Amino acid sequence: MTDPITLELHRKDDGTEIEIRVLHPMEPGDTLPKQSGRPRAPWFLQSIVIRLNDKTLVEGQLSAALTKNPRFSFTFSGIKTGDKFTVYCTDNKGRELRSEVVAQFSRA
Amino acid sequence: MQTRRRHFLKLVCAVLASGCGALLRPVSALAADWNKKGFEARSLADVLKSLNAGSPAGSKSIQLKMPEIADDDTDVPIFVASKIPNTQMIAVIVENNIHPLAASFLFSNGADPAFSAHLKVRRTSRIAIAVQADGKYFLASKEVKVAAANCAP
Repeated sequence: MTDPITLELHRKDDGTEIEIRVLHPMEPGDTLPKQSGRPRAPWFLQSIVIRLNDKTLVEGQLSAALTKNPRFSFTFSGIKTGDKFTVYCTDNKGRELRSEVVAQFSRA
Repeated sequence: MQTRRRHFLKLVCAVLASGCGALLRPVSALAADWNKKGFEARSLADVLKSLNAGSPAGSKSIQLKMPEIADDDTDVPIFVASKIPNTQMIAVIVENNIHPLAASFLFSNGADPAFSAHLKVRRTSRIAIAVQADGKYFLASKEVKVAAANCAP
């Protein structure tokens, strides 16, 4: 199974960018009753937390107004080799997703 | 003897339960904090009310980059950065969506208050960015035109 959260780190001039991709339908649910077919229940991410080592950097509250398979990026300064990012997400069904990445920068 | 053992077992269970609770806290607590009132609000005014934002002042220190015309209403890229000192929170509000509040982010431990994300925008709308800094609220907004072709059902 593919990891529901993929994380990538990119070194930039103004810091280290973390790119976050989450596989999630971000389904808002039906706002109007349909003539036919099964109604779709809302199913979307409600929160995202980004931690660096043991410090919380970002706590986000989300809604189905974000795209399907949402992508985010944040840029943080002062990231060193060995620093660990952990990203947590929860959805409205109470499912928790989690992924981590350790910064590895070549000395070149 | 029996009763004491019961008591001890109860104690162990209580300690375990609270311990597990503490471990799960970072994520579970957040889900409970979800601003239901804000996300279910139907207007910019009601969203601002749910954030206790009062009537925020306009600010030129909020950077909002996005296309003027969106080709795909289900994927509108935005980049937001706040240059306001001590920015703690940034909220994204799509004024013409049924539920305007799209997301909000709290920044702590010196994290740069900036991010990029991708939004669903139902029809041509202003995108408002509300920023909380030092207990004060600021607002900036820009319009995105949703290409007419996509309005067909």
